[in-house]
Amino acid sequence: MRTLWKGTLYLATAAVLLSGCKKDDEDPPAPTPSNPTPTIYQRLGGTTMVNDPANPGTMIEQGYLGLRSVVDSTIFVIAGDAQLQPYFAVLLAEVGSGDLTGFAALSENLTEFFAVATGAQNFTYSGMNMVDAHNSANPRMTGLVTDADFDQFIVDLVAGAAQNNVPSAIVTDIGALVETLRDPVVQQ
Amino acid sequence: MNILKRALWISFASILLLTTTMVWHILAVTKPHANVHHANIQLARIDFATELDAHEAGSIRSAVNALPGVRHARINDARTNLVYSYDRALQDQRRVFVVVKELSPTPCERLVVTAEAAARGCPAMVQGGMDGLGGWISGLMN
Repeated sequence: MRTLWKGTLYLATAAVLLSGCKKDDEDPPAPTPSNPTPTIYQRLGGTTMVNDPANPGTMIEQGYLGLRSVVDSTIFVIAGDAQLQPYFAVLLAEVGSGDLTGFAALSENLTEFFAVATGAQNFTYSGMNMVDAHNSANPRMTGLVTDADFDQFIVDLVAGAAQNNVPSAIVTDIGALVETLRDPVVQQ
Repeated sequence: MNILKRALWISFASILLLTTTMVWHILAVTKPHANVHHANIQLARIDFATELDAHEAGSIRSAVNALPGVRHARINDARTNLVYSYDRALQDQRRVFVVVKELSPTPCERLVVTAEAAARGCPAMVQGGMDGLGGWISGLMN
């Protein structure tokens, strides 16, 4: 059943992405010892410094900016998704002046997580590991994550990525990366 | 005389400790989060009683996007809610709600998240954000 779900998800991902196929979809050159396969982070722009549109006057690594754009778009999709709402209510909680908003905290946290997971060298992830974070011992958990919830998270992630014109090959690889988190996250 | 001197010293030390604790706490909870992107950006949601038609959804989205301080607005795929982000220094979600309510004949309501629900938010989020002495003091003060 789980395999069937995975297959369906990948097909759905491919269907969404094929509509935006670009030159990036062409087969990359074969890796050689002097030219190793670039990481997802490098393919998103890596450490090339660019202007940060969210903070005028500051520079940001292009790879990090690309991931943050996907994360932010995904957060918007999740915030409007009734199925995932119980897990992400904090996103929409109004906080007082001076306090960090749930949006800012999750955007920062998830972007750092994906940056590290995709090969960034200049960032660290300061949140909990995925097993402890989604364990019933964690008081923040409203209930254990189901396979269906995790599937929905991937659907929302793909929808978020599609809004940022991320090349389909990269989204597919990010999807595959997230899929590796299924076992630590779904603990039923 | 010795007792009086000791009492004065204890009082002075206590006041100093309390003052230091208070200053530490104030600094900890009011730090500007300068290194966090979107530090001042709040997310909000308005739920509609029924599905909006495409034209109405587009109008509401455009109108909210045009409000000062609003960064981004999105109607979900089912067209049953509006999610938007705004700069807390420039906009207030109650004002946005009034605008949407005037624009739409479809009944709607502002989503208000309870403290209990917020405390059970995304489990991957950084826990607390303060470590060691700062976290301990914050716990005491709260």
